[in-house]
Parts: sequence; C-alpha cells; structure tokens
Amino acid sequence: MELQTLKAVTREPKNKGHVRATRRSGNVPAVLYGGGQPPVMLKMNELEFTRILHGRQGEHAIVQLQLDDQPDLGGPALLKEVQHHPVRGDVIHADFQRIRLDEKITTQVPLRLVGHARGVVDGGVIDFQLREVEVECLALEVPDGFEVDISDMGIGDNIHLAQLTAPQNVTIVTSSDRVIVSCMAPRLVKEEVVAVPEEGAPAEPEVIGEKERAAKEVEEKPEKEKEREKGKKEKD
Amino acid sequence: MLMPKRVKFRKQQRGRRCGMSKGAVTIDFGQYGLKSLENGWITARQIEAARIALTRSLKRGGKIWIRIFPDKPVTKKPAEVRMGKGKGAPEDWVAVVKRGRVMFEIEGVTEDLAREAARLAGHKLPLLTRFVKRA
Repeated sequence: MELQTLKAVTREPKNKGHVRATRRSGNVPAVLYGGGQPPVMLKMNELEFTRILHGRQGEHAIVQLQLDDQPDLGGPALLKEVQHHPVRGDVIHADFQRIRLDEKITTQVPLRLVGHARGVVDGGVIDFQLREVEVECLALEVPDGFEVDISDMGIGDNIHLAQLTAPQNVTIVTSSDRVIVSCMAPRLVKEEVVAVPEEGAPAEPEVIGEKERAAKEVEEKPEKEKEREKGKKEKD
Repeated sequence: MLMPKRVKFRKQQRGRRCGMSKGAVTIDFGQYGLKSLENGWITARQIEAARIALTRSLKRGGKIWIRIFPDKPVTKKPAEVRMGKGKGAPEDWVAVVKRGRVMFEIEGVTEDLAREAARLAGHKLPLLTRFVKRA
C-alpha cells in the first residue's frame, strides 16, 4: 500500500478568529501530535483533504504529511479524528497522529456488505450493526476494508465477527462475538390506533417524591390538630 | 404518545433555544436520517405523526430510530382567564431540538424510498429539515 501525500503548512496557535479566517480562506485547521515530538498546528487545502476523506480509507486514512515550511516535522501520520460542522457538514478540524511505519498501530477499518441476502427477497430487513472494526497491524498493511458476503443470509441469520477472516499480519481487536449484520423478520403492519387524550387533560407522569410528601403530611396533620385543640383549651 | 414515566417536577420554565445541537449530529444507527436545520420545540403529537408517516411510507420494510424524546412539560392557562393566579396546567410534552440534530434514522430500504419517507415525515414537523446520508 502506498501512502497518499498531503501537503500542509504550519500555522500560529492564535485565537478562534484566526482559525475562522483560516477556514474562510479555503483551508482546514489541523493538529499533528504524538511520536514523542511537540504538537504542531497545521492548515491544509480543504479540497485536497476532502479528496482523502472520500477515499477508500475514509476518516481513518494514513497519509504522508508534507510540511512545506518545516519538512523535518512531517512524516507518516494517522488521521485520528475529523470534526464536522453540525449543520453544514463541512470539515472544521482534523487531528493527525505521528506514526512509525515499522511499528504496529491500532485503527478502525470499515466493513462493507456484498451481495443480496436471501432473507431480503423473503421480506426480511438487513440490520447492519457493526460498521467498523478495530485492527492492529503495521501502517502499510492496514486493509482498505473488509467485505462481508451476505448472499446466504436468511431471515433470523446473523454474521458474527468471528466468521470474518483477517489477512495475515492483521489482528482484529474488536470482540469476536459482536454481530456484524443480522437479517430480521419483517415488521407486522397493524394500523395503530393512537390513544389521543382529551384536550387539556393529558395523562400525567408520577412526580418523584410526591407520594412520600403526601404520606408525611397525612402523618403530621393529626399532631397539628391536637396542638391546636390544646391551644384552644388553654385559652378557655 | 411519548412522555416520561416519572418526573422530578410537574412544571418547568421555558428555557432558551439558542445554539446548535451538541450531540446526535451524526447518523449513528441507520443509513439515512432526518436532520433539523432550525431550533424549536417538537411536541409528542408531532413526533407521533412523523413516526406514523415514516412507518406508512416504508410499508413493511426498513427499521426506524427516533432520537428525540419529549421530556419537557409545557403548561397553558385556560381560555378567558385573567393573568396571574399561578402557572397554568401541564398541557403537552415537547422535545427541545436544536439545529444539527438527527431526529430520525432509517435503515434497510432504498435511498429513494427513504428520501420520500423523510420528506413526508418532515412535513409533520414545525422545523426545516434535511435528508442526510451516512458518509
């Protein structure tokens, strides 16, 4: 596997206005850390970075970072985290971790479903539960993804992670008893009669501690009444 | 309709609805989702109406996740009542939704069907919404 090259330049760690200006100018702010070296603030072209994000490794890509102004700080790096804008969805920040190509790393690898399940033809629904799996291997041996063949799946069948065969030198870290995909029976369609309460009279939930409070008041009431009666007699 | 089983207090203050959603901004369960583009309150009735619209348009297939819950009581005074004399009676339950929140998720159907179902469900909600896909 060849590493994709990503060009970046260092930036000054300033305030949020500076970071926003970086984004407005078509760049993505990022940070590079790890490897026993101090962290470096970076910025890179948004289009180039998005191209890597849309590649086969997606948000867990391994890239060769090429810093134009400080070449000695660059090197192979693992894309650790990508932050997206909650509404627009564009990239607002990225984290890179320095790695060594001769050391094992732990990263996430996507799982892809292949084929059309028998159970779907019979009316079942595919439930894809585990979409990524954690693997440990050398950086250059990280697979692009694992393909899971679901063509033999009938209704009620499950495929577990134990059934997945990893290539040599790749260890799957995620628990092997996890279900990757299951084929569920179709839902029975019944016309629900929604019980709409009358206007202005919704069913009210239980208020925590109200019962105890009411019970306490009931207990205290007779005592108060006795005291009041006592007071009246004394007056008389 | 959705509502809490137990609450600590019967009535709440209204609060504010500014800012963006902090959590549930990505699709975590299904393949497609319906994202809010505005801030607002969604009542339990509206959630139920959207759920029914989704279920009916998906017919037998697919699976749905509802990622909002109406846990805030809303009170209302009766008609033609003078101001004062305390806060009104609890009238409805609402979910506070901020922009960016993935409110519903869909899995196990084609994109066209999911898109149409999300469009119909979006019409039941008092907010602008957008159909989103898993990256």
